[in-house]
Amino acid sequence: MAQNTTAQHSTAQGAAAPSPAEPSPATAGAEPVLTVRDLQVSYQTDDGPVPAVTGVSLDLAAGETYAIVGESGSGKSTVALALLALAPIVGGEVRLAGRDLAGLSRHELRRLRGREIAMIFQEPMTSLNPVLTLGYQLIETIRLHQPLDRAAARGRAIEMLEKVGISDPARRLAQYPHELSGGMRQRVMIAMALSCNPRVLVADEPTTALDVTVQAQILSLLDDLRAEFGTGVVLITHDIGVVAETADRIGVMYAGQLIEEAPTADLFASPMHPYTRGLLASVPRVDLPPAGGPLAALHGTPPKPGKAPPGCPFRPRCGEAMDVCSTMPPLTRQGLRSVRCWLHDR
Amino acid sequence: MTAENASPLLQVEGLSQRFAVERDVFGRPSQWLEAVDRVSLDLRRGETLGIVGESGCGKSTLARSILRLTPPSAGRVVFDGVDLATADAATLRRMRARMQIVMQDPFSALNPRRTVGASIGDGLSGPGRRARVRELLEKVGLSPEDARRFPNEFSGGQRQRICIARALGPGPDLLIADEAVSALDVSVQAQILNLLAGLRQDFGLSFLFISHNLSVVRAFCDRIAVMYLGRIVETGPTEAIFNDPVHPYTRALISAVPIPVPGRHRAARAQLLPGDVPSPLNPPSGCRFRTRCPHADAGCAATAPALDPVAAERHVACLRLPVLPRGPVWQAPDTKEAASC
Repeated sequence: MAQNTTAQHSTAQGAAAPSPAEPSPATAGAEPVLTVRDLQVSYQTDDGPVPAVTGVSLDLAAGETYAIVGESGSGKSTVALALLALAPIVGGEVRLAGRDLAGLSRHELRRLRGREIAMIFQEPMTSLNPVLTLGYQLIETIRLHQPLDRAAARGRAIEMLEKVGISDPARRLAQYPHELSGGMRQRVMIAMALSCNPRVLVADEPTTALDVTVQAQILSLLDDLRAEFGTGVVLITHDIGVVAETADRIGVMYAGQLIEEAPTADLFASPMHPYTRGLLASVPRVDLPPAGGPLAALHGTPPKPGKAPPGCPFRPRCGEAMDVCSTMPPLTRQGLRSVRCWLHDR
Repeated sequence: MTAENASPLLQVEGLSQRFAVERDVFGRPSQWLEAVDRVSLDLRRGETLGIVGESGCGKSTLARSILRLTPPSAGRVVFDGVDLATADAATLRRMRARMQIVMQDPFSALNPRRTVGASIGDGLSGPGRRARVRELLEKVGLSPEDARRFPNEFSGGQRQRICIARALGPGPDLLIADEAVSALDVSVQAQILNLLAGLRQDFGLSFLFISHNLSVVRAFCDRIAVMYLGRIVETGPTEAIFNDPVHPYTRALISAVPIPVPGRHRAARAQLLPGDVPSPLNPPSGCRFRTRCPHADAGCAATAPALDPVAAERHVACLRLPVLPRGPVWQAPDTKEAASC
């Protein structure tokens, strides 16, 4: 891959010009299950509208894991919510299996969520109803979306709990969320999310609240289920290690924008955006002895939503900022990669 | 361990901390939670000791017991030669000024109605107080003018700097960092770690660095103690442990951390631990790790292993030492990557 960059570079110049909103192709030939074009999300606050996401475009192929990484306030969780039309979308479009979410009624959206696209959250305790048994919640979810009678739905619930590695699933159905550990609850959430075999699973920091040994179990489980069901997974995380291990492609977000997108190996081998480079360099390595001297750290802090400076939002923290950076750089595509930085605009 | 040059700054001997979780009709405790069970450790002057483990292993309780924020149920804490349990109130106050703590959440650790300068000034007294506050703010990379501002005007990383400035106020010898960088973004986390490393050098601080983040611990600590369900299962110099973890839990913990290099992690997957940490209300008999341990046998249920020496400065609590796999949990880095180029 590394030897090809110069060749790709020259062909990329022509390709970059026509539509900067077009993201890189997910995988050659495969029809994406989810396409996002120039997504704009803005929250109404007492101080007026605050733009949380400005112009994000991406494609997700079936069976692919696309990771969105970024720090707090970068807009990554807002993108996740927007994929289910749960955030106030003010521009652009989200298409799921060819259907534009904006054109759907509330009733149609409700039918879509769960069946076509499902979501799991960081905190599995607050996502489950504490006063209902797991069985009630699982069976209700299944019957809401599938024409199954109670007994068949119960069978399906047991089957799903088995799939996510919960022992003695029939007995678990009678238990309440508080009787389970955090890892077990997240398994139940995954079982619930996948019970209707959705095309897309949105996982927002699914392992952040879990211990590292349990995190390893859950990541491994998600990967197995993705392979088995062919579900496309959008993984939202701030953990660079988790991304390296699970993602096929990565989009890096900063201040509401996708500033770089690349296949996982390429991004780690040669990050292009100065922010991506700084981010990767500031992660301490658990598998290597410390290099000695201070850690490579980005200076400053990310801007608050809506408070980004004009032009490139990373400019105040960037060691390579130029005069031109006071205007917004375009998204430049180079082969399977794209980057929003004047350093790479040719 | 005690035979080395100077006496350790902090000695913890057989420290236990238990809490009554249920009481009978007479108000007598009927069920106990043993959060920390007979923990012993030494912290040398100028040393950074990392306490690692997963949630519920007792690492934060240990910190609180050492500071006597919750007086320990049993055992001794000796700080600079003074036994804190038997010290009189005046001595304890003096000692406490020399041991400070920085907590995880910089949002709840500062009073939102007080200026930053007032919060930092709490630990100070005398005429030079205001100048000292300004000096402390500069030490942690903020501006002296920030003393007049309120916590809500600062980001998470800046607030953690304020908490560090406040902790440095009384001129401590020991800083306990309880997940002090865990709530911060990666890029900010590196800044704060660099700040702490600089302060460690400038002030000759000793650190008790409590963290669940093993990458951060490897970058920052001289020695490590690994805790599981209230007990220390392994201690040793940081690099020795990362290059050759001995206790099965240590091996599993280290190999579970995702590595920020695509493709590098998979080999370690074989060590994936089954199940969850058992409830500390009802811990397994004998070795507390035996229910998840791939090497456990019948003997592990009967006897609780003691922390025995296995090499220079290294101690492991395991009855199955002869059968344990040894060596690094990952293949040596870059050999494959270098070969493919």
